[in-house]
Order: sequence, then structure tokens, then C-alpha cells
Amino acid sequence: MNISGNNHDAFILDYLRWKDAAMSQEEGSEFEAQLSSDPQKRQWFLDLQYQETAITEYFRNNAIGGKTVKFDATERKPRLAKWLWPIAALFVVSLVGMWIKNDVKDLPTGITLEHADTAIWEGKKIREGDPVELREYRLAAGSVRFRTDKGATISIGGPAHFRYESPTQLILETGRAMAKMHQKYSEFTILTKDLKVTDLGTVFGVSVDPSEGTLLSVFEGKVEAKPSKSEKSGVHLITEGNSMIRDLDSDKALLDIPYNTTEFEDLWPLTMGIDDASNQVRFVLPGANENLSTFRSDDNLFLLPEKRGQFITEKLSADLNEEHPVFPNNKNPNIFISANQKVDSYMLYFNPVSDEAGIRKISGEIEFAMPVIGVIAINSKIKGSDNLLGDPTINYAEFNNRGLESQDLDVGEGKTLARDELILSPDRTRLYFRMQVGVLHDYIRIVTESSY
Amino acid sequence: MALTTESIAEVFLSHRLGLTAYLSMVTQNHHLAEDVFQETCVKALGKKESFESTQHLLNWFRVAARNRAIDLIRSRDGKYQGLSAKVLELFEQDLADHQEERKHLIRLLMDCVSESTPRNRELIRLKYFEGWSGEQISQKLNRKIDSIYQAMSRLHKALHLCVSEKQKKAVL
Repeated sequence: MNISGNNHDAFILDYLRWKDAAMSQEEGSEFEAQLSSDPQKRQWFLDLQYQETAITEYFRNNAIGGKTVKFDATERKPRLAKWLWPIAALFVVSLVGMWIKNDVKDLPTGITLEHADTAIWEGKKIREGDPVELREYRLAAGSVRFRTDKGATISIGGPAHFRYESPTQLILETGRAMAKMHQKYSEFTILTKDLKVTDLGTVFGVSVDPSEGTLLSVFEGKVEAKPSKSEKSGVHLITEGNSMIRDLDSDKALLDIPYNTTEFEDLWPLTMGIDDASNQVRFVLPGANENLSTFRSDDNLFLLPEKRGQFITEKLSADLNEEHPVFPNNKNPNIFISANQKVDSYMLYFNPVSDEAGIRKISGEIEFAMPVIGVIAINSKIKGSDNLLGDPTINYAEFNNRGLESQDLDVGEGKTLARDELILSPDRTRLYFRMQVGVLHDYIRIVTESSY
Repeated sequence: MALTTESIAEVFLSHRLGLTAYLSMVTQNHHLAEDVFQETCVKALGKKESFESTQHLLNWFRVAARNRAIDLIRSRDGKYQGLSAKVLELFEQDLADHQEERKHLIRLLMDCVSESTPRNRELIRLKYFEGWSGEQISQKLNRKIDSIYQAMSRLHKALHLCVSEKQKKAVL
């Protein structure tokens, strides 16, 4: 490796080898560590990146027009108008899409596709807002979330082959599905080739691999599971925090296996009302019997669903809402979440592993299925809402000073801990965050409209 | 007051090359960077994000586009082996701090590229426009790979000096 102090020439050679993936793993790590610690090298790196872009742009312009495009003000107007055409077209398509969505949402099957994440269909396609027909579907890739008017949310991860037999029954030939019941009277059954799983007020996941059989994991509540082709078949009651497999080669009806959540990690947030999130956001799946304080990371923050469908009878003090969508707010207004509505609550926290003094930053966004009605970000207000909105199985008392910093803090040794920032999008479904943590942790409670 | 659709579009237009340069850093592939740039522009406009300032819009864009690029690479290759999120955030901060200074840099660089010798232009065309590796170029030109890297290194240094000179002249 060439890197030698602040030698620009040597850095360029290293950059070229890095670009060609010609460095060993150790050299790559060293190169990245130097970028992390040396602003001069980041500057050189940025210069090289800009050079690359200029080179590509130069040759593209030569290829298409034989001359370099200048960015003079006189040329900007026609370029802008031309550039806006596809955007205008997109708006028209969106409006048509919204019209279609509103027109068809209450069709007879009572099941609609609520959200699709990079879904690729083979054969019959379904778009967001479309009603589901009682027929076969093949999801080649991506994941989707269905909503039934019987009070269930069903998420399916591709590749999957499935069909709805009725508004309360799904046949899963292959792939992964997760079901959540929102109300006591909700009902839903998932049938696989060799297992029938019926919810009893619960969240559960089923994964079907034709070569290995059917895996069942129960995340909340309990289910009834009945093997369909076993002489020893009988009804099994499976409770939360447990997994079982119906092994095709085994003559046993159902085999106990260690609690398996990994198979459903991508479906969990989708089922719990998270449509999209930055890579830095990880999700805490329930039933792992682990203390929440063990979920720590220097590079990730964690999102945990708390109370669902909680009716609030008194207004709640908050730090961000639709009217005041930015935190911190210098005007320090009184911000509230209105009373007399049902809400869902989520806990988002950034709790670095290392206790050493130092400042860690993280930023990103989360897109919720339901509009955010408020965010509680100041420690005293978070504490005040624990009983009403918190998960009753969590001991929140172990977290001190949970809130965000609303102003820059001098943390000594010439270091400043910059204030944290939150911004809510106008449609209230996306929350943008930028957090900085010193020796403690950042913690907020996000309150959305209830999904049912 | 939130930026209008037209002003958002104008920001993207005037910062297109700088943002694409940043995304090339994430993707290590200029064409993928352009795809992500376009997709994120449409996302920003289509979802009617409330952007209170150009700075706010650009900060949001870098984070959203970076995450989208990493997601795309992960779904395509099964893993992302580029720069870590921590380093990318440092670059985002550097760019946010100096975005006005860098706004016209690419135009100056393009002038410098046009002033380089035909032989050098061919070398950088193969490397960055065609996306060839140093090894592929060395085979095509029947030269040792070290000499290709040395030539490329000299070229980058020359572009660096050329643009510095142009910046100085612009100030004078």
C-alpha cells in the first residue's frame, strides 16, 4: 500500500487501486480508516470523485452533441422546462393512481394491497390500493402488505406463491408470510401443504420451503397449528416466543426448534406499519427474552413497536406535531397530541455500544404506514407517557435521560455535542432524523394514528 | 417557507453533477449513481417533502439517495462493500460545509479535460467513461499495470492543478 503521510501522489495511486477493488481487505480497511480520520484525504478523495464525474460528463456530452454543455444562466430555462416534463407526467400518473385507489378500496373480497416494496410479480400483478381476487399470485421478489376488512394485516415476502381462498384464509404454497390480528374478533388462517395455522389474537409467521417443510414462529399471543397429513395429527397450541417446524421427512407431527425470528426480520417492520426505513434502522422483534438494553450499536438505532390501538382520553404533551413539524423549535410552543383518538406507539433509540467519551452521529428517515400525530422527544415528557404508551413488558426505569438535545452542548475537551434534529414530512408519514450522542443515548417516542 | 416544486427542480439541476459525484462515491459506478439521482429527485418531488431551504433539501437528498443506492446494491449483489455509513456521513458533512465552493468545480474540470492531450483523454475515457479497470486498460494498451496507474495518477494531479489555476484566475 502506498499511503505515506500526506503524500498526494501516493494517495491518488491508492485511490486508483481502491477503485479497481485491487486492495486486500486489510488495505481497504486501512484506506477507509484514513479517510475517516484525515480531512485532507477526504478532500483529495472528493476532488478525485468530482474529476471522475467531470470526465464522464465531458465524454457523454461529446458523444451526444459534440460539445461540452455549459451551465450558463441563459441555457438554464429551456433545460429546466425540458427536465420538468417527466415530473409533470409523474404527477398526472399519481393523480390517476390516487383516483383509482379511492375508487376501488371497498370492493367485495375485503382484502386490498396496502403497500408494496420493490414488488415484482409474475403473471397477475397487483398495485397498491388494488383489491385482491380469489386467485393465484406469484411474487417473484420484494415484499407486500395486505389489509383485510376483518381486521388482519398480512405481509408476504418474495419469492412466494399464494392464493386467498377467502377474506380470512390464505394458502401459502411457497414463501414467507406474517399475519397480525388487530382486534379480538379478527380471524385468519394460513394453510400450507402440510400445516394449518389459525390465529388466536396474535402475530405469527409461516415460511414454506418445499424441500424443508413449514416453519412456524409465534411473535405475540398464540396460535393453533394442525398438521394436515400426519397420522398423529392433532391441534397444537403454540405460544409466543416459540417456533416449530413440520418436517416433511419426519413422522412426528411437529418438531420444536429454537425460536426463529431471522426468517421474518424483513416482514416484521412491514407488518407493524413501517413502510420504509434507512439502513441504519434495525427492528427489535418480540419474544427474544432479552433485556432491551442489550440492543446497542454504534452504527444503528433500533425501532420497537409499543402499544397498538391505544385510546387516549387526555391530550398528551409532545415536541413535534403536524402544526410544528420541526424539532427543536426555537419558539418553544406548547405542542400536544389531541385526546379522544386511537394511536400506535413506537420507540426509536440510539444507544451506542461504547461508553467511552466521544460523539457519534446518525441520520436517516423512517416512513410509517399511518400518519405521525406527534413525537415526544424531551425526557420528562417521555417518562410521562411511559404508562400510557409504553410496552408493559419493558422496564423503562433503566433508561435515564432518554430525550434528545434541543440545543448544542459543550461536552468538554473542545468538543460540542450538536443538537438533535427531527423533521416530519407534510403528509406526516415520514420522519427525518439526525442524532448525535455523547456518553448517554437518544430516545424518542413516535405516535401515529392507529392502523385499525 | 417551503421550497416550491420549481425551485426544488432548479436546485437539483444546478447541483446535479455534484450530487452525482457524491453518489458515484457510494456506488462506485457512475451509471448507477445517475439512476439513483433521478429516482431520488422523483421521490423528492412526488412525495412533496417540505424542504425549508436548499441546504435542507440537499442534506435530505444525500441521505435518502445514499440509502437507496446501498439498498439497490444489496438487492443486486447480496451485499454492499463500499465505504461505510460512518465515512459517507463524514463526506456528507464535508459536502454540506463546502457545497457553494464546489458548485462550479465540475464545469471547470470539464474545461481542463478538454485541454488535456488526446492520448491522456483516451486513457481517462477508457477508465471512467467505459468503466474499464486498470488491468483491462493495461492489456488493451499492452502496457504494465503499474505504468497505467502512474499515468492515471499524473493525469489526476494535472487536473487538480489545472482546476486550481482556473479557480485562482476566477478570483482575480
